[in-house]
Amino acid sequence: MNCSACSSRLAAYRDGDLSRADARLVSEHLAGCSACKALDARMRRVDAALTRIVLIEPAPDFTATIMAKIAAMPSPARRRVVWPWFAAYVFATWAVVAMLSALHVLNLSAIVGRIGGFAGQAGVALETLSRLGGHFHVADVAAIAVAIEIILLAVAATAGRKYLPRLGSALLGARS
Amino acid sequence: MPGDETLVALVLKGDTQAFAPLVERHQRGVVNFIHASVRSAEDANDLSQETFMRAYAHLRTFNPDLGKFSTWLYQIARNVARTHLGKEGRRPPTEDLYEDETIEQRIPDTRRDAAPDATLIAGEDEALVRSALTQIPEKMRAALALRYFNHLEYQEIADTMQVTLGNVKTLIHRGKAALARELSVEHPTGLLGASAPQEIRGRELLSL
Ligand SMILES: [Zn+2]
Repeated sequence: MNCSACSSRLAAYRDGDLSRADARLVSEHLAGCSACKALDARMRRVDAALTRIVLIEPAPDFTATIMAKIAAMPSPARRRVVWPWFAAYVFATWAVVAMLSALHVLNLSAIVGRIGGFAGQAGVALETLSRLGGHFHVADVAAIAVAIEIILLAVAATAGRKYLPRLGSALLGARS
Repeated sequence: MPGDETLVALVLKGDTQAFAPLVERHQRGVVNFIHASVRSAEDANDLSQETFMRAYAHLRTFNPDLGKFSTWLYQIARNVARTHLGKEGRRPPTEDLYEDETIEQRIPDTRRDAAPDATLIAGEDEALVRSALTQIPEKMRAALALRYFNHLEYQEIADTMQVTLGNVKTLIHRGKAALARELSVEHPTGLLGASAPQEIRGRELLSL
């Protein structure tokens, strides 16, 4: 074993990460090479210093400072369901409609009539469509399309759940 | 005391106070991990605060299925430290050269290690190693800090740094070799005096 091979294995040698054969070659070379012996001594000084190094203590108010800052931040809690907001929106809309019709700004019966007429027309159109669909087996094609869509959504949801956190961590790193 | 992951779940349910024991538990580790990269203890404290704030703000992205909370936290700490060093532009320009080969292959200089007095040098070595740590490549420093300051297992270091187990060992070995080299440069024991480092580098280059 030459000096270059020996010096590049010294740390592994000291950590016991070398094969027995390699370790023997290193110790044999060390016995006869003062240069590598000197490097080995220096590596052991590094090892000793690393193991002995005195750790510092965090500032005494470390936790308190963080908890104070956190109090002013939005909670990372999982978002609540949006139903309450949706319900409030629907309620407010109907309240406005009721108010406007009470003031005769809106003519409710005319609106209901118009919606009814539109529904009738739509129904007729749908029946024509479904008859056409039956003729061309459009229904089958549509069913298959819907099934494919469901499968794709399921795959996306599974993959998303698995990789989103990782993506999140990556973004964390990218952010400054 | 509930485990880290349980506490995270509590915070995510809206119990903000459950974050306090997480900070208590990991502050010392994070501060010291970052202190390996920055010389000033004050900076280490500030950057650790930033680490915990980031962790809190992005707590929902922590997935316990992918690993331990501490692993995730040290990843953030590492990113915070790297961003800080990037801003300061203090990254050693020789980083890429270190990253792969050659350091350990340089032939050591025997003259500077002539009979070092162990007890006299011990305390001095710690200070030298501390300052040398900030000079070596970030990857090696992170691996060494996680090992010697945070006492993580090799596998945990691999998970945190997202490298293989073999890579971790290599980083630690090369890191120590790099430290030994910094030690020799900054610790002239007589004979050669202050102008030694340049001379030696030149000599080493010739011998490569
Ligand atoms: Zn040798």
